[in-house]
Formats: sequence, structure tokens, C-alpha cells
Amino acid sequence: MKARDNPFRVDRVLTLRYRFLTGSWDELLNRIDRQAGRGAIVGPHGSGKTTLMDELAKRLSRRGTPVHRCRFNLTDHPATWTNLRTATRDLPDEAMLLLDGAEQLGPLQWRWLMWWTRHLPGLVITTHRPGRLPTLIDCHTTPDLFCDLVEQLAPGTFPPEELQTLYEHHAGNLRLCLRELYDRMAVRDDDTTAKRSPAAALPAITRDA
Amino acid sequence: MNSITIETAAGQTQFAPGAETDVYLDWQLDEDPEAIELRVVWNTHGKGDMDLGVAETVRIDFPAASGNRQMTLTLPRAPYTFSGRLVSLQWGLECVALPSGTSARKEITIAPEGQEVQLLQPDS
Repeated sequence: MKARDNPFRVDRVLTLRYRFLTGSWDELLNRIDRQAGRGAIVGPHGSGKTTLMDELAKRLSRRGTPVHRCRFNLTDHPATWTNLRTATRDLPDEAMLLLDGAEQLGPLQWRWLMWWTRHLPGLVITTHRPGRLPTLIDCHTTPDLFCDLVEQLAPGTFPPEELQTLYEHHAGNLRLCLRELYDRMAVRDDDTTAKRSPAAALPAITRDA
Repeated sequence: MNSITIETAAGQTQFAPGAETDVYLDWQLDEDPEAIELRVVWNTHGKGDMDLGVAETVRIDFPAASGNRQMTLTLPRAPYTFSGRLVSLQWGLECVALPSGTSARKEITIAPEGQEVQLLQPDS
């Protein structure tokens, strides 16, 4: 199967929205307000933290809150700590900082961040373990959620038993599960599932550029 | 209702590298836009993050809310449109109204003889 027809290609996976297993957007936003704009989105790898953060940034922006988004990934991007320090110092006083990957900050870096963001109206982080800020939401996955997402991307392509096995193999990490499904689709000869319809009106990919 | 359409001469969507083509834009917008841009873009699809490049931009400043425009484009010579299992590269004509972001995209092929380069192995 061609990459552009693969229903699990990254740009298609990124269209999936965060699904609350418990709670709702209203509850999450109220909790952020009650906690003075501070809190942590907690969960293991592949549980939807970044997806939730992406959508949170959009919702906060729509509410009129200036948002600065930062993804901290020391392994892949060693320059990020420098970028984070620079961005934090330059943030306008009314901006909220949304920091993805806060568990990768060392204790001194974390204290530095807390000091430099103390005047901001908000700091929301994602992290694998609770503790650094009060937990806003605990992200986790279920086999049913995984099956629903796969069904949305490639209806009727994989039996639930196969998906259940895959889910257990990757310990509930949906990112890894979906990547493996990409590989499984890639070696298929048929290209009958979830192809983009050439007749459908397409939005410009560069519309936000 | 906001709508934008992009048409190419004779509905052609497959082009040789460097080919010249007429592009016809038609837009119906609720408000006068600041500008309308026609962009010739390439992007990847696949297992990794999407890469994106804008080869050419033609800007129409302060057009009316409804209108049309015909222009002649010389398409880029590279990269070719191709597809493998890990990654595909596609070209598109994109028209975006600014600042609203109302947009349309027409996918095209730019490759020798207008045929997408296939990286798939037929016997695997």
C-alpha cells in the first residue's frame, strides 16, 4: 500500500481528537481556573497527553488567553532547554505556558521554571507521573478506546481480537499501536481501505501558514 | 457561503516537470479578503511527520469578495511526485483567502510523463 493511502499515516492519525473517558472539556477548563491556571496532564506514553494539550491550546486561545506552547524533548532536541529558557523569559505577562514533557526537566530546571513563570496566569504541563503540579486529568487508554479509534481510521479492517492483542503487546501505548498498524497496512497489496476520495473538497495544508 | 475552486486547463492534473499550465481560480466569500494566495506546494504523507514546501506563491491583493482570476504557472522541476510504503510525496495547488483561511486544494502530479514514481516492489 502506498504511504499516501495508508489510513494510519501520521497526518491522518493527527486528525483524531482526544476522547475523555471520564470528565469533559468544561470540567477540565473549570479545574484549570480553580487551580489558578496551573496543573498537570498526567499519563503514560501514548495515552493522549499531547493530543489533549494541542486541543487545550486551541480552546484557551479561543477564550482569548495568549498561549505559548513548548515541547520539551531532551533526547531528540537538546536545544529545547535553551529554547524554553529564552521563551519563558520573553513571555508576555498575560500568557499561559503549556509545556509538554515536563518530566524531562531536572530538579534545578524545574525550580528555575517555577520561579520564572510565577507571575504568569497559567502553567500547564504534561508529565508521566503526578507530583510536580496538581493533577488536572489522568490520561489513560482502554482496549475499547483503541478499537474505536482504529474503526474511525480504517473501518472494518482489523478484528477486535487482533487489536486487543496489539493493545496488550504495547501495554496500552496507542502511539505504538497505531504505528504498528501503519506497518501492517503498508505491506498489504490491497488499497481498498480508507482511501482519500479524490472528488472530495480538500482544504489547503498551508492555510494556517 | 465561503467557497473557493481551483481548476486547471482541461482538468489536467498530471504534469511533466517544468510544465506550463493555466490555472483558473473562482471564489465566493462573505467578506472582502485582504488577499488571495495561490500556492504551489509539496508535502509528504507517511509514517513520519509531514514535510512541506512552498515552491511558488502568487498573491492577489485586496480582491473583491466574489471573483475569478486566470493565471499561467510554470510548475517546478522537482521533487517528483512519488509513492513508497514509508512515504509519499504529493504536489498540490492551494488557494487560501487571507486572513479568514478559507481554502481549497487541488492535488496534482509532477513527474516524468506525468506519472507518479512508484517505489513499491511489485513482488513483495
